[in-house]
Amino acid sequence: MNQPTRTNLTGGIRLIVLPTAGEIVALRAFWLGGASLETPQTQGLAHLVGAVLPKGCAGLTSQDIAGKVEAVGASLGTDTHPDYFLLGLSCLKPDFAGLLALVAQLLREPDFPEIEVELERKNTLLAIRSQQERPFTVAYNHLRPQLYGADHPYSFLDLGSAETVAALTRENLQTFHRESCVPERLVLCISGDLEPDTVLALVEQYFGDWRAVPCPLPVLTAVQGQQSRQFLPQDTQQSTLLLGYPTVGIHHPDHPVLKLISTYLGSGLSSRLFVELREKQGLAYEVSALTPTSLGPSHFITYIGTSPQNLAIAEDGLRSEALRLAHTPLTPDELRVAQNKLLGQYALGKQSSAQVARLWGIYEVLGLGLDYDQQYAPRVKAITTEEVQRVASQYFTPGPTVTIVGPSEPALLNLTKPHLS
Amino acid sequence: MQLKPTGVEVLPSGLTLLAIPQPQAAVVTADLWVRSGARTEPLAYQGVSHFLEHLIFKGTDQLPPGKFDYLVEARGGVTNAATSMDFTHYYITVAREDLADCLPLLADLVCNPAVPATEFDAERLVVLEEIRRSNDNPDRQIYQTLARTLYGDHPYARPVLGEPENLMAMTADWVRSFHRARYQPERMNLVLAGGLPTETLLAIGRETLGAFTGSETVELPETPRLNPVTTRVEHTLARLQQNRLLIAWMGPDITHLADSIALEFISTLLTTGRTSTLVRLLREEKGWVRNINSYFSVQHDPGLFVIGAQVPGIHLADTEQVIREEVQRLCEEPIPVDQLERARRLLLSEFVFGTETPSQTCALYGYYSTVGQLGQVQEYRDLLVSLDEPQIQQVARQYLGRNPSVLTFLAP
Repeated sequence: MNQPTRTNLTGGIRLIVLPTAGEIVALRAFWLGGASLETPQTQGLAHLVGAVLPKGCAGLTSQDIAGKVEAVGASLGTDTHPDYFLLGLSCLKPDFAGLLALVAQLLREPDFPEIEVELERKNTLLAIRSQQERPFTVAYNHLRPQLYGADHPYSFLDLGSAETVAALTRENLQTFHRESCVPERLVLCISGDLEPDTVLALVEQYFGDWRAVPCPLPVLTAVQGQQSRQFLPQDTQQSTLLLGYPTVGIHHPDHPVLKLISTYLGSGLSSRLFVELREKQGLAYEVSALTPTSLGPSHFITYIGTSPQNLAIAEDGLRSEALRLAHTPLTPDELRVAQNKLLGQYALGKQSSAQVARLWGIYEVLGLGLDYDQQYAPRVKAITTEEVQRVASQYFTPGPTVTIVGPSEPALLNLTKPHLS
Repeated sequence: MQLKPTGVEVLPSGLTLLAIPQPQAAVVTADLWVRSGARTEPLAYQGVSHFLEHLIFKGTDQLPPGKFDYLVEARGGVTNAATSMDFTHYYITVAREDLADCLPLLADLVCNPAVPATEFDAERLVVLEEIRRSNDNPDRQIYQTLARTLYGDHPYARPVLGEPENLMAMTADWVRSFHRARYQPERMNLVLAGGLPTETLLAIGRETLGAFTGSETVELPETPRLNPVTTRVEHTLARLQQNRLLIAWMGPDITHLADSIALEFISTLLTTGRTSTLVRLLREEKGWVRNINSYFSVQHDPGLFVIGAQVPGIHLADTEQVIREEVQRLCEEPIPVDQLERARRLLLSEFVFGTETPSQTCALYGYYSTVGQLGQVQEYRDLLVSLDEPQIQQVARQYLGRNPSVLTFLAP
């Protein structure tokens, strides 16, 4: 891929063009705010905005809009994140200019028709119930309020609750859009076999005269985290166990180290948790670690799905593998392998036009800049075993917040060897 | 419309190499497909194909357990495998300069597994956990019930993961002999796609697998002929939060590729996008369903055409009626040109988006060359362009003209 170009438009829009080969053009429009602009009482607002936004603009109906997109085999969708809102378009190159005009209308003049608000509200209420069918989602939705406290936006439910979604109004949606989707918060990231000047001219044509005043952004406070545990009964065959540790946001120097630790513990068939808990002990099919990328304080999670009778040994395993990193330095070989894995997977995450547009868009909207991609590899390669140990000690030593979803309340750390039949 | 140039070479052993260069890619995927899966398992050893796939990662005489994963991942590559009814496949995606070093490891793993007795019991526990996990997923249970209902005595009725009793009865020796019988070169395709020239990809494949020869060739069991089933069943499923309605017809097998593509057109007409017939009517206008989708699964033996919806109880009967009326309409009334061309554009785009990366490309070419015939991907792409309204309507009548099976899954 050639170098990306960035242009600041007069109204404040940041346009990034990424030259890629092939027939596909991907556009990702980001703006800051997302679910973190919600309050505890308006949880689910960003999601509902996302569901209704593509369903009416500038006098076009939902069917008009979908008709324009689908007639050329393109796809258009929205996504919400705690830190940002995202509208995405993927299409073939000859159709891009026409669809960019539609994207501009959607971003600038969404109608939020009352009838579509009601339809998507009803479907969201059903989706909230359906989440109960997925134990990991249930556990994760209960873990975050324990980690962050109920008032922190990162604890909010993506879809909201039945009560909050029932109370949202069309005016809530309009205000949310008007105050957050404004040029100075907007990043347009476009990848494809395109001339940057041609793209710029089109963007100037459709977006150039746009001016608007944004609302303030929330202050995302640091997190204390409680070493609490909760058990949520579900009539499942496996128990799902999540351990959560409060960490830091993407601007913090420890962020790449935490990504490295996540890779070491949970990424791939040679990861530490996979080898120790799955391959050696047969405790699970799925065992892993993850740490979301966020502007404000993030969290680190290890998790496993295991038979209820093995829950205690599984929890002990997850806890001690995290703590072990605080006590025992990685060997130079372990560090090298984790670095290669992290960077290898990073490269694999930049293959398609859509992946590329999304990644650079996130860097820009979160304020990391276009250089972040180039700085990432040297930063990861510079991580030392001492740094890993110091970071593990700092974030893992206080102990995790624990959430378990499963068929029976487990005994606390009643250690028994797993039964090998 | 011609696809990317593809290199094909059949080795003396019968193993087929397929190379698809994607010059802009920095990586290469090598994907080793075996024409052996759950469909051809002996009844008493249900689940052995999938269990073998797990055990293959336990190494060879040259590669102790975990070594392969370590060597590939230490270079920043990824590896995994999957088992289905008609195939099993194993793949790596690595930087293009690492292919020559990593492919021999994959080939050794798949061709010469040790199935160490010391690893056997622990890995069986992993598969038992995988079965429990699958049992906790209502959509998996719904799919299994659909398969059981429509396929009767045919192996497609069974779960690929197998049943715990069968797994408990297996021994390492038996799994080894299953591998020897099934993993024969003439049943294997190596698909290579990514950032190296065709000749380099083929040369590395030839160098790596040229010496692999099979032993005895065992004829695989024939699977029973399928007769379309028409039935109506209702199940209450613990932990289900939303009712599901499934309407299913038996379709063609993979040898009838044009019919299969026509069914993909029909599925797209009915449920892809907000302007598709059933999404527009049932989700957008009437608001009866939370979502509705459909698919046709192209398989070695006849696949299913399925329309599925999440529907609150009060709308179940009306939703079923609308679905059946609209399918009937496709069989009887002309398909509007704009709808047909919309479906064509969506399917062509899906093809382009679905072959953007080397791993996607290997999945598509591997599937058709292993379950169907070499060259079917080109045929597939050509049919997306050429199929016309009379052909599609004829296929609708032939397969969807009769009464479907209707399965309802209720939340308790």
